[in-house]
Amino acid sequence: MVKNSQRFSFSPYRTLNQSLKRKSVLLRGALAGLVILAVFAALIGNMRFFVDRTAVINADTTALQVEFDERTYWLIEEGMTLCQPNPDLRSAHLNEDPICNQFLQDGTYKRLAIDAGDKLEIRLESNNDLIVRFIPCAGERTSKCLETEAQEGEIWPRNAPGGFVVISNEALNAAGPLSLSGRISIGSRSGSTGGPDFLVGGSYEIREQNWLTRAFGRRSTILDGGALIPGASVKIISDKEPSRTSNGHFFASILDDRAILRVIALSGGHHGAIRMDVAGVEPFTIDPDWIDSVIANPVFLALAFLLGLLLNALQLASSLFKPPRDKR
Amino acid sequence: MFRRLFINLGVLLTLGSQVAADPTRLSATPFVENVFENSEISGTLIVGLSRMTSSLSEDLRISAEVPADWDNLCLSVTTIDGLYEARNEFDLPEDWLGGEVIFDYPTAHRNLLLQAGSDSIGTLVQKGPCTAQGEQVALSGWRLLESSPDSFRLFVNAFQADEVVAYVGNGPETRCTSLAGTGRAAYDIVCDLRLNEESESPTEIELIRVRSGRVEASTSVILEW
Repeated sequence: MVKNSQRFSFSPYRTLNQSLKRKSVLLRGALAGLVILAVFAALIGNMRFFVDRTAVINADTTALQVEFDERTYWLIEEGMTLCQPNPDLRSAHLNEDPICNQFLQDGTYKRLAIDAGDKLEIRLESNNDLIVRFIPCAGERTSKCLETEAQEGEIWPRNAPGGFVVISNEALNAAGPLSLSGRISIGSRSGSTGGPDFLVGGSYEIREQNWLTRAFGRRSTILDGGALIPGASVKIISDKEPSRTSNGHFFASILDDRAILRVIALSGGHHGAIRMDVAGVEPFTIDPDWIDSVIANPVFLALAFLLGLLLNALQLASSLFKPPRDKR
Repeated sequence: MFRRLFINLGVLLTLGSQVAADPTRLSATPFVENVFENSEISGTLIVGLSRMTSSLSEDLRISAEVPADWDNLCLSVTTIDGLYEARNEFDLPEDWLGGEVIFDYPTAHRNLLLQAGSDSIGTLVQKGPCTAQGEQVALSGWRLLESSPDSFRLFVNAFQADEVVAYVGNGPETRCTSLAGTGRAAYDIVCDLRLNEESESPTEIELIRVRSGRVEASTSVILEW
């Protein structure tokens, strides 16, 4: 028995097989390493630092709120009417203005000069007029709240805190898209308590470009997309916080024979997500994780497929070259 | 060392004097409370009226200052998210002379209530049974240790108003402030008000809501003490 086996070990077939086996072990080790590396790279690649994720919202609404982060001008050629708060609200009902209701008319303007830090509430009234309300700032002594000297025909929201401008539907149509930047919130937060201003509908998309797609020169991939919940309040989130640097615009549009505002907004920052707040339930965030990212990523899927194929081929080859079992 | 001792003594003395003026305890049978999965949108404009305190009591102490001519009252406790709501009726003793009462509050959701900050719970004490409510209200106290003399807070459901303005009696207008944060279903605005020296019970509190330049008809409650 011993003799037999000794004789076999010296055969040329055995030596070839041994060297082949050693090579295949090496190859297999290298491939396994590659797979681990690829998975690791995919995980690393999906870490926030390497990923550019943009949330895109396309919404039909009658209300939105914006806290601007940079100076923005809206040119309304056909003019807008400024309404100032009535200092004596108790006797305000005696006053009835066709545009400002119980507020006091204070001239017409062609240019709205919005400064960084200004908070505006924009909504379409039931008579299709657009109202842009200037929310008074909270900390009254900060530089953000200081009045600015306005030019002729120009109105600064901070010069009329608590007031609003009325832009007629015709004037809004003529003005075209008006730009937004900063912290954008679409819809109204108390969507289900009634009232004319709410999110009518729309869609969202979360797009991503990570190092893998970039390395292979591909466009961004859509990680998640879907419909916005009518009546909800939608916020753009960036790095877990409401994005302060979103960008977008809005314009007058018509949906099912009713005037609405079409709002397009894109997240700023590196990690865009979307938060929907429906009255009565906890607000929820649509923020895809690395699994969504891997599934949606064609480059990763292609690599995984190729690697799998290669591994299988190698497995097959090594079993083909396997020597017949030593029958003792 | 001695100073600290004196301070401690002082604290003990004040605590003792508080114990001495023991407020009447009231209990409701049956005690009813509701916890909802989804918040109920409350239909009332005024959700709470309570004294403000800087430091909350450790225990769930709900109190009120009830006028002498009341027979019974309705206490509502509502959390800002609208998930907890309780309305209970309490009878006052036959020989009620007015003053502070403490409500027995056998809640099954003690932790939920204790965790909520003073901004997120509104307590309202109204005259009469819970089924038939008048305009008369009394000042309530949510975990009140020491009452700041004349200031109190009104919790209001703004119903999409741009602005809510409050008047106490013939006093000046007070602009109410919006509460920040999400999950405001039951109320979203608070008005920090103050009784002035010449205020006498009853005092009318008037609320005016403004939206898009429209000044809506005012709502008022009558505060008695």
